[in-house]
Amino acid sequence: MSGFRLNLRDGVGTAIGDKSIQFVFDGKPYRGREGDSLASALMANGVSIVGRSFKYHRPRGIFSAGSEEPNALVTLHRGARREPNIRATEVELYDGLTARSQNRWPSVNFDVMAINQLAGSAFSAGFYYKTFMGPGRRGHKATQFWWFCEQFIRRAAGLGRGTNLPDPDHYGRMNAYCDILVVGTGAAGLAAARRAAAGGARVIVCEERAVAGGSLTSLPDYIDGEPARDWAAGQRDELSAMDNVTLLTRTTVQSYFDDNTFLAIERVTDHQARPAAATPRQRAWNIRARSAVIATGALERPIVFAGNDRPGVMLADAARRYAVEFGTAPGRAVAVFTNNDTGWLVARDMARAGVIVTDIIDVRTDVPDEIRAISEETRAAVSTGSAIRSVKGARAVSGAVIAEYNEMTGELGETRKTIACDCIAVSGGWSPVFHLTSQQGGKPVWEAELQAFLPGEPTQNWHGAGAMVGAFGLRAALQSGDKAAGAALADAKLRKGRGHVPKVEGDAIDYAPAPVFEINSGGKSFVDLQHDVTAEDVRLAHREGFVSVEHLKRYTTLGMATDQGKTSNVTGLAIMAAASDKAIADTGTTRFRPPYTPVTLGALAGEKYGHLAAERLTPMHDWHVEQDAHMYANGPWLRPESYNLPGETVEQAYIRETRLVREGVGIVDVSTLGKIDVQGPDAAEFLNRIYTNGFAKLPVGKARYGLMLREDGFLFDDGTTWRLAENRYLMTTTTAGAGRVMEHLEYYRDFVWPNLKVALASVSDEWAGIAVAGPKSRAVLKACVKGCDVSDKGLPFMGVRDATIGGIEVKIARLSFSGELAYEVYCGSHHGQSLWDLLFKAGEKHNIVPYGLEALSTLRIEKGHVAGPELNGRTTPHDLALSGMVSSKKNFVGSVLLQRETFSKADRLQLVAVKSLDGQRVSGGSHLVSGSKDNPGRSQGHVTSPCYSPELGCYISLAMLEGGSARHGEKMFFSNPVRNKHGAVEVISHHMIDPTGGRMHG
Amino acid sequence: MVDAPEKQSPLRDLAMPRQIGTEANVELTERLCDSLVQVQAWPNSVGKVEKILKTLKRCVTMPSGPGRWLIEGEEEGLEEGLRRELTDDLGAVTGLTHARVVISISGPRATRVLASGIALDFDESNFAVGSTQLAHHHEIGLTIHRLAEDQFDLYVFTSLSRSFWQWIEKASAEYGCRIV
Amino acid sequence: MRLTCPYCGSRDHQEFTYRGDATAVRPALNNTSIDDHNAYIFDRSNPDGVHQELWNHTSGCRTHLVVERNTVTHEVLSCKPVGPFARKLK
Repeated sequence: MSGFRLNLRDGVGTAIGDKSIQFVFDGKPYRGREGDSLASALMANGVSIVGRSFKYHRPRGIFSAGSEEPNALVTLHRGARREPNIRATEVELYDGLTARSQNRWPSVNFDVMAINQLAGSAFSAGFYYKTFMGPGRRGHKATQFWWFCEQFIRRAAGLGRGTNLPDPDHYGRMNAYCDILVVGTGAAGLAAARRAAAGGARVIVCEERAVAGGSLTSLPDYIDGEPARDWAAGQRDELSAMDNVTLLTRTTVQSYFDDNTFLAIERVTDHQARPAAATPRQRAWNIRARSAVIATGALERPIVFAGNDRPGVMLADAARRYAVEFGTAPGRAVAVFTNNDTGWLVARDMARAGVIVTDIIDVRTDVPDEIRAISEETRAAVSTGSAIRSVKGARAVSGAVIAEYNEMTGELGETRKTIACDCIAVSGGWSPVFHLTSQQGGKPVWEAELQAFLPGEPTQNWHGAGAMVGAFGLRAALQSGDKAAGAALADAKLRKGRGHVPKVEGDAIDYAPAPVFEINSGGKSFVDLQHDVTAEDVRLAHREGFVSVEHLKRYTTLGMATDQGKTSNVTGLAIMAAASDKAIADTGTTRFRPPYTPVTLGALAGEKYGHLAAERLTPMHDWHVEQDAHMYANGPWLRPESYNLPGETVEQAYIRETRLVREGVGIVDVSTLGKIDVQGPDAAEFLNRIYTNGFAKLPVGKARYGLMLREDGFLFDDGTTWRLAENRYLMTTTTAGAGRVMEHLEYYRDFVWPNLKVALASVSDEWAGIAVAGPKSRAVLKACVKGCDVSDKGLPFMGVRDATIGGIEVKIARLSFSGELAYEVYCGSHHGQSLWDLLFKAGEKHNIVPYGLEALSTLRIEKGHVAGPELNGRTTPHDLALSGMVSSKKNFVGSVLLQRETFSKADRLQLVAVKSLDGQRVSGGSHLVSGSKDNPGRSQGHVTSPCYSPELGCYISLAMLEGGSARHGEKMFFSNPVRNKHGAVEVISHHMIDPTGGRMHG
Repeated sequence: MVDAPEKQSPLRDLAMPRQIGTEANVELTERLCDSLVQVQAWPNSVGKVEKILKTLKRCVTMPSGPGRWLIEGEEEGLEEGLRRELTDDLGAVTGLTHARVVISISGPRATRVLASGIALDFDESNFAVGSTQLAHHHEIGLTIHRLAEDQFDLYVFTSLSRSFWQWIEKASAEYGCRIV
Repeated sequence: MRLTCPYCGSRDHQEFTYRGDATAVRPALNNTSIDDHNAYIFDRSNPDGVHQELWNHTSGCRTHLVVERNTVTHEVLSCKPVGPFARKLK
């Protein structure tokens, strides 16, 4: 193929502007014109080989002019923006664009791996399964052999390579709602959009290409007296000007989900040389439509023949588009090979544009006279009842051998002649694009008269229009678009109004092709160009028993890869049907899955890229950061892990912080705890049913530690709940459990006991929480608290009081997580930082120390308090030595199934602590075993919360151990084979400090 | 008696007045509420509670669920005042003054910015001026009050307000934005 | 999938949390039969067709609703409110 730019004039190069544009392909600079696609610009520059094939590394050229392109895949840009497998046919040219061909080394014109072609028969269907998944060879298991070979195969076979660098672009999202979504802006889509818009519906219209119009942009017909493309442009302008219409170009509707929800990807700046920084590169539209008109048209399919993958063989309609729209001849001498009338029109339109069409070859003998008359205008030699036996030319088409062909038997006869041509434009008929409705479960139906699958019965509110439902030709398309919009208006409960179909002057032809899919002459003929699947591969699959279409697809990989077989599926099915002597209708089709074309992952991530989840911050966040605290992600929350002094490790820091709390006083941010406001006349009864222990008799001004179970008897969450008034409680939950506890409470309030008058409100964000802990904590509070006696008598253990600190209203609860004398002080979160500053100032003379999550955890581990690692969904109160918290006087959530026999077995995992005997850090996640490092024996339990204990002067951990409560004093080992750790420990009671509670009660 | 210090917004450093881009098709601002409460009526007292809420002065009452309202008052002390009238047998009053930050967005592109992150039909047929919708931006729950065709108050959870602000500022930047 | 919240209207399913089989009813508080609780928690049918599901509009008004849905076609047949305000929302 040696394409070239035609003389641009009216009707030739309609999309092409005056501006010259510079671009680079495979390192070489070229010039194109404004309006070119990368494919048309390469073609105009005479570039014929644009890539190498997937498996055999055969040279490949441009095959189509749209998103169905199987061959012309290129890698765009460099560095972090490098993007592989982009269809050159869809890339709009701009100044400075750089593109590279793929799957070739060292160059697209000389590719070493082309040697694979010689071994062609070895790489037939199922090659990998047969070679690697079968029985092993010479003592090697087949899978091992695969592992060895995979690295080489992956390099040799395949498509382009992406980048591992972070994506520097950003992506947007849009949520859209409409009455009617129109997909496609060909004749049918525009007719539908017109009527839907005139009916007052909120309409969204999506067009994959840069310009609305579909096939109207290249057809010579007239609509309402104007050239079709002008009519389309007028419609586009009218629609754009309407308030109730959103017209999106460069927007592909990729997915059709349940309940008429669609995903469309808009390529916002991909066509711009220098996009504005604030504009997203692509935008994902989530469209909810009451009804939809699917007017996605049809894709031309090729006829398969020997050598049909040579650069220069391309789809006929694409050849027309290049000539008419892009003003580019696909070759110097073009032959048209067809099984239907449209091929003849393509020949005529190309000839009118100035392309030399040398031959028209039609498999049919019975060609209508008016179609034959067309050849007179083209001045091409006509061969009917003929087909291409083979293609001349090693690296690109240089000619073709034409032979007699019997349409009825499918057999080739005598060779008629050899022609010279550098482009073969092929038309094998039209396949409606019903990918979207198939995604939705619509079962395609074979229509023998049209030789095409049609989308079948709607499974949702959609109406097909135009070629998509077999309404071929402008007149039929406009009519069906108009009608579909009427039905869609009715779906959206709007008045249908009266339809209007514009007048069409132009070709009235029969689009149905002869049922010829393949010319079998024994040479290598490709069905799926992208995955190098030949017609022989399909027959081989059949011979080997893979007769279902789903098996055919997976065994041969027909229809896989980035084009998903857009130009090959129907042909593949037809060849399979012929091989199995079945009708195409009985062979069935595979179901299409979203997306319709490849989607950039960034577009799906949308604005969340680089910012995957929202962060929850406490009111004192900035203070922690200013102190250089290590911030640690605790679910969505960021919390200080430790406040390291210069040169300190995290471990040194938490040991220091822990020690200072036990000796003096520390201050910690506990704002992350879940907090739920529970109110109402039945609040007490409700809590009594939710918690394992009693809450009805809790006096006002007191807090109580409570346990919640799931209905199956396992522990769910814990926390303190404060009775603020007769009918008002403040429940606290674990940080991680806040959300699920709220849902748990709401479930029981709404679904199980709807008669209880209980109001639930999340107040986690209302209250900042600060714990002040240590023997000197009372002195700190005494120095700043007004309106409350903080002495042991005035504020006893578990007491809750209102007070003020520096004018800030606070609630003080005397609670201890650390085992020390301690208080939790709550205030409105917008005062959180001020309160922190006031408490800190009051504590300065007692050397108050801020402590982080690690010290908080160390303090509670030493005290033997359980937390997340122990409340892991597999433990009961009995396992954690909390049986005393389980009331036997009432029924509550989980009370019945907690009595299951299995929960009282003596060998259940029970809470203990272990202390290291050899000075080793107890490795998190370790098992507890009796044996040596080499022979550890079976796991008898595991460690849950390890730390260094300043109090005990050694490494310790809470642990869950089989029958552990009776094993204190036993010597064991912790074993962590993953980290290669093993060490001696002693099982001890989890009450490691102050077992009588003298400190916190003091 | 010492006066309480000024309330501090988590957005104090982020929402600094400035212009992003050359145009100002979106205007963003933030504020804290003087008073914000949630009222939950019992099923048999909805009518009575509605009557009490109608007597409130200088308050914006936003329905936020069955028998539930979010009420912003222009003065402090709304919680205590309401609790006196709205006794336990009628419903529950929860103070949320510190639990939310209000982010206001207005301008010709305000709905487009919101639609780019919030799955809600902003057409006035679905979301009338003066009404309230409960929605979310990913994991951030929002109460949205529409003050005019292109003016909205968003009640955002305090702890998540910075993440939300970062998103809305970036989303607004595409159209040109002024922060006031 | 779209669900119709009885309070907020038609919304994307991502706003809702599935809370399980709506036909599973908790035994009364004074029922201490392990078998009855076992059935409530663990015994589930897996219907090929119409199913009653309990959902919560977690990212909205937090109303619970019973969704009647076809597990084969994904068709949502009805969304009915449950809870203290169910009668008011109908």
